[in-house]
Amino acid sequence: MEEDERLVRAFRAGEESAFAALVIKYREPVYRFLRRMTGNHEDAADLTQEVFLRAYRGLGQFQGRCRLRTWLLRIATNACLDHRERQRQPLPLEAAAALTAPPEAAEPDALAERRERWRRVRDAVQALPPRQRAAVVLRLYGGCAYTEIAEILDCSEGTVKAAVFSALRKLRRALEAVKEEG
Amino acid sequence: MGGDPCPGYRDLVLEAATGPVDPVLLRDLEAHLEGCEACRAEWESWRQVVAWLREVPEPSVPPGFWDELQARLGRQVGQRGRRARWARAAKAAALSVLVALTVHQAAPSRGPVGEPGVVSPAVRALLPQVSQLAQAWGAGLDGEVDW
Repeated sequence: MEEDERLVRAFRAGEESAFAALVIKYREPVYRFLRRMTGNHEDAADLTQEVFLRAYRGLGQFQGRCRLRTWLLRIATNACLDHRERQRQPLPLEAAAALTAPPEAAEPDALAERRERWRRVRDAVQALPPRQRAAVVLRLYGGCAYTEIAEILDCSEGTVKAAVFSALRKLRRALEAVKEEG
Repeated sequence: MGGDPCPGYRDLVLEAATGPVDPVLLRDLEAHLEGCEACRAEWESWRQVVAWLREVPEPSVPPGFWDELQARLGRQVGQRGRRARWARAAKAAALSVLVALTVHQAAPSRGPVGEPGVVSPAVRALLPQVSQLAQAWGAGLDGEVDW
């Protein structure tokens, strides 16, 4: 029997420590995904906690039709989209402009240039529509296959590919702008 | 650049540059890239873009965050656990009351003729509500599952 399945069974049998073990196993991928999605630690921390509370309540009904990691990332995506909906925050101006803004003056130092590129990438990722952002974060930073992303986002593989490709083309435009500055 | 990439390979180039693809498709792409300068340029361009995107460092986790998360979760889950245990206990108690009242209701009255039985009409009137309450408690926290 797989480790996750054993832990889920133990949890269902009333062993609370099994849930703690699941949290320890998956807290890092969940947090890192949420951190990339939200762009800040505070929201990512709150959402990570929310994800595991939802998981605690839902684990009794977990059917095992997908991997536990996939299920948790689906909860994380939904929590993130709900959070965004609740906040109804406009995009930070800096982020919203990242894809189209004229480049600022380039710094001569190579490290500074790299840091600037990282900042632009973060801003450009934040400027993506939430589902595109989720798809591209899962693909690029989560190492997820398209089939898994489709399960997480509850859509077809074709839709996922279209979202990832569209997001990547926007990100490439943002990076080319940085390159031209240099 | 050697012109536009071939439409049949444009998406596959992007797919392969970002992660694993079907091995058959990958072999097909590799064979195509050997003979197509435009697609090879597109492939190199995407590999560079993806490398830049991936070089952004993993966000750092503040010291002590994992312990704090575990403690916060432990507290919240503990509270929920107590609520769930209380709900189960309440359900059991309600069912006991229901069974007891039903037994008394079914049993023949021992009082003298004309005197009220063990279960008064007022208590009998309450039985459906007790049953409903038991069902509601029995539902426990199921209604809170909202992922």
